[in-house]
Amino acid sequence: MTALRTVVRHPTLNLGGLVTLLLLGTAVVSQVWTPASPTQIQITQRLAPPLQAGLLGADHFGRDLTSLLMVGAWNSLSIAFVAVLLGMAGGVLLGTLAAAWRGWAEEVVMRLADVTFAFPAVLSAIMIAALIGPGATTAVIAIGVFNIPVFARVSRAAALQVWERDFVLAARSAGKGPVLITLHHVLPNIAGLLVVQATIQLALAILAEAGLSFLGVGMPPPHPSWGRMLSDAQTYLSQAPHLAILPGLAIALAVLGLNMLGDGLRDIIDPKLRRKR
Amino acid sequence: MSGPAAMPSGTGAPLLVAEGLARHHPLARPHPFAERPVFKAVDGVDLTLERGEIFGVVGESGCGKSTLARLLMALEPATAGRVLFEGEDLLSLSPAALRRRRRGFQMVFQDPYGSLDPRLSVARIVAEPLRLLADGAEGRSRRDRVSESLQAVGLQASDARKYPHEFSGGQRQRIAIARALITRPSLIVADEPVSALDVSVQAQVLNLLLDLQESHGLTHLLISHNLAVVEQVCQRLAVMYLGRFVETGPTAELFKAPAHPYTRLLLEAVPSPDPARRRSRRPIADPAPAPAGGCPFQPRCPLAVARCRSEAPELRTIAPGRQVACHQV
Repeated sequence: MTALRTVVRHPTLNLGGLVTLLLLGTAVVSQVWTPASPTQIQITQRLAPPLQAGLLGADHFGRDLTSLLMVGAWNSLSIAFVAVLLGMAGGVLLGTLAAAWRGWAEEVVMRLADVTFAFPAVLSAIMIAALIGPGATTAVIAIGVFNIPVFARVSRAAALQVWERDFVLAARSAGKGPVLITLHHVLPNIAGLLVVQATIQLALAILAEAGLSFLGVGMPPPHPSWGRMLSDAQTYLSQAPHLAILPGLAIALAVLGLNMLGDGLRDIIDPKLRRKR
Repeated sequence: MSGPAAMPSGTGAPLLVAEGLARHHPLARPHPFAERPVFKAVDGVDLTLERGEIFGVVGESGCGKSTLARLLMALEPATAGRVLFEGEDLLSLSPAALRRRRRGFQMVFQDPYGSLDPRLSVARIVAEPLRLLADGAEGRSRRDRVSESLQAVGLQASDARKYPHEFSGGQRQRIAIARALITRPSLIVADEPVSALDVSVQAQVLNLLLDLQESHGLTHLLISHNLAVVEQVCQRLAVMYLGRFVETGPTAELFKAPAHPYTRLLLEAVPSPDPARRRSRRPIADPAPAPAGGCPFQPRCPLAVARCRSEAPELRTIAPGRQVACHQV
């Protein structure tokens, strides 16, 4: 039960997990209940500071900021989640394939990953968004594509290590081919590492989604989005700084929470990488 | 090299015959126009395994013992040579045909921590080779076979539900042996099966292999760097040096009168518990890469003469069942 004790006593993991749980809870609750409708315009409450209209005030259309942030959490998280899932599916498939067949398949996959990496991710994402127009799908594809090489590299490196193990030789001796060995032995043994990587990629994807929305290529209005809330707030920075501070805080908190969770999970799953404290 | 490596000692057709088996790894060219150098992990090994015997292969680390084991198990492609298992060349079989033959030969690995997948239950690990059987062994018969195999190696049927980390090194090696046994193979190749275990557990696992040889009519190929281990269990022995067999013969005779200078050096290096029997201590030169021509052992050999530097000795019979590759014998 030492593993359990490590989990209980791990402050980074606990704090990160708590923040992430809070974020997830907020996102889920926003789908059934918000203090006010996030699309309802009440011009009398325009730019109201926190506690004067709702809990956190109102934006330049007089929409309730609490509700906007809550629904924004859902939008951010769902886009980031689907994008990372997409990137993970593609990347793990390519990475484990490269490890299983080696030779030219590995070369092709890894060189393609290098090419994708050579582009600055956000710039390329904006390029894709510009090509197929703004929207949730655009954001998912743009972010997802740049997650593929990340997962391809991580899963190939981890899979190669598994392929070196004697139990793979035993499996081959039991008549298993590359596909069965990948399914039965490689994937279960690299799953922990992939979960860690996915958590960290989720944080990056939230940041990327906010960036895309900020630049106007994410989810279009009237869907609330943290990134666009930030961008809209620029005009009113001196009159209503909370319009910029609160979404910024939400993004920072979400990214920090997921990163801490990822670091904590990494410590638990792969103690060899644990930093000396 | 040609001809059988050792005189047949049993009766009937041999179980496994290897002829001129070689595995060369190409290395990087020193410069673009140079001929590509090759590393000869296994370089022309001939071997005959009779049914029911325990055959040992000894040699220092890096001499190609493990590569030889993987070649015999058709887990690695050979550069040259044939592996005849019950008369059929494994290396020329189609993948599907090879898969069908695999039930006849299984392997036990050196490190019981690396050879069992930590994510699988013991039941799934032991049942893994059952897919090689035509009937597939599903459901009840599958569970029965796993229990039977676990009991044959001295474990409980209830251990099937546990995971590898719940067992000690010796018990893990028993699980690995249970996995190798489940298809009722006729040959088990054990690559250093006890070198990762405590000395007290080594004897238990070796005795288990001996018991199984009798009760299951198994043939073993035992690979080891530990002379005490092979002396205890093997009927016949081959001494391997840099990818070749340098001496083969019955274990007792080989230990009594080693012919090849390398075998003599190996035996001298074994510590003796009896001070009166303590052998002379001659320093052994560090391992040297094989020279381009001549005898591979010549750079370290105390008896080397001019001929050894120019001409590689072939294995030749010096007594019934005994062969040596040395000009000086």
